Amino acid sequence: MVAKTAAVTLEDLSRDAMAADLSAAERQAWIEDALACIRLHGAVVVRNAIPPAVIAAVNEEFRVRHDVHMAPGQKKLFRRFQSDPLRAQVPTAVAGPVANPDFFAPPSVVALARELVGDDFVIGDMGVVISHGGATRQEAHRDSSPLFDGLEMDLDLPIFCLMVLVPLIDVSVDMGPTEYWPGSHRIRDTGLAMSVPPIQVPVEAGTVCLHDSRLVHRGGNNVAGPVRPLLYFGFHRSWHFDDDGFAYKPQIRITEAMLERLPEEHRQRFRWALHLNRVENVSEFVGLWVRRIRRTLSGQGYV
Amino acid sequence: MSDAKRPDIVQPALDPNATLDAQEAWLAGAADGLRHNGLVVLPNAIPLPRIPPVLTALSGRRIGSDDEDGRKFRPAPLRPRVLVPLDGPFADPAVFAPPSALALARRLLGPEMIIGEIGAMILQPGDGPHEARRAAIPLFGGLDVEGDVPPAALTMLAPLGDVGTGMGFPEYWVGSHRTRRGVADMTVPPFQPALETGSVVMCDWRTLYRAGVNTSGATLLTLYVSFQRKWLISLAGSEYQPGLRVPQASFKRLQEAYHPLVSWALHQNKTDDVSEFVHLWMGRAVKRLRAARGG
Repeated sequence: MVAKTAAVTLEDLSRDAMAADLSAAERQAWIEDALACIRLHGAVVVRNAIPPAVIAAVNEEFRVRHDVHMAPGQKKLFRRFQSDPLRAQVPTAVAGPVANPDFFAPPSVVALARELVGDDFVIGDMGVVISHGGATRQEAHRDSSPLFDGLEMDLDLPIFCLMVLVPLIDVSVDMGPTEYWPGSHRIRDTGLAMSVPPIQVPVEAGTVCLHDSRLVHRGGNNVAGPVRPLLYFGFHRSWHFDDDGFAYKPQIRITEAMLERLPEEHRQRFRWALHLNRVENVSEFVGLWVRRIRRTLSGQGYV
Repeated sequence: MSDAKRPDIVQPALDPNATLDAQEAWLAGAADGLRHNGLVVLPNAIPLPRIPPVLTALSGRRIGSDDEDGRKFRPAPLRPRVLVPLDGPFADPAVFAPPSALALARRLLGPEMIIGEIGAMILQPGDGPHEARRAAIPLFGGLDVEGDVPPAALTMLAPLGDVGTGMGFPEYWVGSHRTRRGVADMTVPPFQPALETGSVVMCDWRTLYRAGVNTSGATLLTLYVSFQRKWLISLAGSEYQPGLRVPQASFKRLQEAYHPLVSWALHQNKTDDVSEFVHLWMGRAVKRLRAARGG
């Protein structure tokens, strides 16, 4: 297994997105090929999955909505997930350009997700990781805990969470691209899985990286910048809930109003998370609405 | 030997004064029984004096109460299922998490296990028969492997009275939790537990069961508690309504050792809507007013 992983290259993992004019048979062949890749290696990289204009709109809006995290020189890049003060991780509201299905549910990605985690999959977590120049590489990790106490059979089970990574700008090797250990989703011993060098995944904006949440991976070190925002989505089987590390924030920021604005076929993906954004006591409630009004008046959107 | 006396299915309740070795042996035996059969019966799991207050609390919430909770599911007109808040007599750990049931659930579901749902089933005269079913949802589209993995959830059923034949209490196909959906051997007669008040049935959520016919002329109230792995959100029938109601005040009163079981649900009882928020607090005010008047 380890010997095999050493031979895998970035090209082995990469595919062009499914073209819109494919015949049904070609479309099926594309899906089967990408599924085989993700089942074997634990990851697939889909080029040109999201149109450049869609990505650019999200990136532009992030500079306003997440100014506190995006502007260089910020001091409060706090989030419990990330130990590096130069790397922020914040949940993202399902609003504005992010709420465009071309962005959060591009056809190639949804086609694979339906096959891997079921037609009724839900988006179980969604946020942005923003690394600034000088951010060191993350600790290698998996994005989910084992379902059944880490038994050997945990790794033989079908995938239950498909992680989707969307860099908002071109990411070169010295900007700290994601690093994967192909095949490690089937290796219980993380140390053994990491006994070979990882594959670095430099990408152009519009490329989407999908991986099995059990795959060992990490964010690389952003040697000199620029600020590198990367959106992440967790496409979960409808019964899977992940609260690891989310004790102090919701996995997804969504309100009834945001849900209403989504096309109907996508609402079921997010509806489950409404209750995470609710409050119970008066001061919390007043605080929530004061924040909303202030953000609306200052033109920063309704969060 | 009657089914109820099968040694693997009926386990004596855990003796809290037993030595650690004896407790471990009990746990291992009960866990093996549940793994093998898909269910175990734990007699005397809930102390008898704890049951009358639960019955009293439920008596005002018989029919129609589940509509107030906004929950869509009602298995049958004569078998309503109501959600009960973790409050009053229901918040007594001896009731919602008896030591033997809790220890067994932790052994099989891991230390991070949660309680996903608490409610009551009201089995009224004339109810049934019902179709055989499993409580489980398919995790991986119904693959064979689903029968091989450890349980993702266990259901505890605690009848609040003695259970004899013809009272509508569920009957179970022993060992069916390991079979694929739709291929369990139903030509084998199901196991019908005869239970005394205070006994509980712990059942793997994949076990095939069928609610029986209530020909007894009496209503049987049964408390149910779903112990589950923390990653499991089973939304079947609940339309995203919380399966567990945990008022903040009750949570604060609950012994800390039980907090990890239910704290996950605190946010499910919140709101971000003005009218819903006002409604929530009006409800609380009315409840307090009634309590102050002794009602």
